[in-house]
Order: sequence, then C-alpha cells, then structure tokens
Amino acid sequence: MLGVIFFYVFAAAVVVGAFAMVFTKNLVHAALFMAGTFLMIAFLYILMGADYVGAVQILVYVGAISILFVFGIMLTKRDRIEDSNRFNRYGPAATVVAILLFASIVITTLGAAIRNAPAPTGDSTIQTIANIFLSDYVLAFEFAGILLLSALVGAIVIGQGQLKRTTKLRPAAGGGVQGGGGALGGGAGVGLGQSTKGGDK
Amino acid sequence: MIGLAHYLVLAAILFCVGLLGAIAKKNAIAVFMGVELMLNSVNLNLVAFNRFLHPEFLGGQAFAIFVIVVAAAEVSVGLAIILALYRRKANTSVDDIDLLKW
Repeated sequence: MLGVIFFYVFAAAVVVGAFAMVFTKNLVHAALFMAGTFLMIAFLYILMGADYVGAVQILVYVGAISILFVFGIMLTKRDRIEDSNRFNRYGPAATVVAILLFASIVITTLGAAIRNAPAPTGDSTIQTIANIFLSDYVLAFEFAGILLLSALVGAIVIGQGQLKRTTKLRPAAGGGVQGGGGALGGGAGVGLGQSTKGGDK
Repeated sequence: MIGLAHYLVLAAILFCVGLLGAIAKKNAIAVFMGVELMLNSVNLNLVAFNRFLHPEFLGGQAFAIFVIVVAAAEVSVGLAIILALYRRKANTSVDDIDLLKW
C-alpha cells in the first residue's frame, strides 16, 4: 500500500518536472527541473528494487550530467537568460506528433496481456549485477570503458579552443616583424621560431 | 497494485515530452535535454520490464547501466561540440547550424 502511494507521488513529480523542463522559459531553470526529474526517476528505480541503478542514476545523471548542462548553459552566453528556452517554428507539429505517439503507445500497452511477476526479495542487486558484468557482458563492459576513454579524449579535443596565439600572427605594420617577434618572445628559441614563421607570412 | 502498465505509461509520457523538447526547441542545449529525457524513459522501461517480467535475471538493469554510460559519453562530446559551435558562430540555435548543409 505504501508502495502505491510512493509510486504515484514520484510519478506525479516526474511528470510535473518533465513538463516544467520543456515549457519553462529560462534555460537554467530547465536544467534544474531536469535534475529534479532525474532524481525522482532514481527514486522510482529504488522503488522497483533496482537500488544499484538508482544509485548510478543519482551519481551520473543528477550529479554529473545536470551540472554539465548548467556549465554548458553558462559558457554559451546569450542576450537574455529569461527568454532563452523558446520553441522553434515546429512547435505545433511536434505537439501533434508527441500526442499521437503517446496515444499509440498507451493503446498498445493497455491492450497487451501482461502477467506481473511477484516482487523479488529485498536483497541488494549489486552482487548479481557485478556477476553479470564480469561474466555474460564482459565484452560490452570492456567496450564501455573504451567508449568512455574515447569520449573523454574527444570532448577535450573538440572542446579546447584555438590555442592562444602569440604575437607572431599580429599583422606587421612596416618591417618590424623579425625584430618584434624576437623581442616579444620570452625565450631565445621560441623567439627565433616565431620570427621565422612570421617572416614567412 | 502497481504493475508494469503503470510504469510503461509513465515512461511513455516521459518519452513524448522529451520528444517534444527534442524536436521543437530552438536552443541546442534544450534539444540535448529532451534527448536525455527520452533516454531516461527508455531506462525506466528497461528496469520495469526487468522487475515485472524476469526479476530473477538482472540483464535489464545491466542494460540500463550501459545506456547510462553511453548517455554520459554522448553528453560530454555533444556539449563540447555545442561549445565549439558557439565559439565559431556565437549562438547555439539549431536553426543556424547548417555548416554541413548542401
């Protein structure tokens, strides 16, 4: 009985958070609503007995991805943050598509004959999941590690800006290229390289 | 009693709201948020199917964790791409990102 009440409370919070995320005007508020929605979904996982998935959801989604989104919003400044989460011109069409998709999913779901299994025992799932990861899905587990490594390297490579240029590309007025490069570069070797590159320009 | 159908309908709501955000938003970061919502609804489906159909084998939960891993990788690279685009074009509206348009 308590599980039923908890389910409806968390489900209502999830739905409200999702709608607020899409329909709020402020992008930062949308990111925070998204974090709240993910937190409520984690509670639903725990309610289903999937405690490890719930913990991972809180750690990864609420702790990392939401904050990463906030960073992304803060690093891409725009004119007015209060009006930063607008719809494009496909809003009405997308609403129709979403409603039709929802109707078809619900009709299919309610028409299916589902036999619910009894509730599992309340043991922790960590041991079982660890056994699955290191026996049945060990190849996928290793590939997930490789994927994370490549995503790390890719994010650094894509996200780094142009490396800060020194004075060598400053358009030289008159003939002061070599002297200027040599004087402004700190070390002798660096200054020499800059001056020769500047001379090519 | 709460059954599988409840969770499926909840996940359907989440997926459709996320789809609405992913299609109809102007800002690329908001589009990403919609995609994240859709991934979460799929995760909810996976865990619910696991719990209500085969609670003795936790393959669904393992798959949900793989989905979380891929989503984390996708978000990090995607936000890096958005930052690079912002540096290049000084806005993040998906209507203006047409570098690859023929």
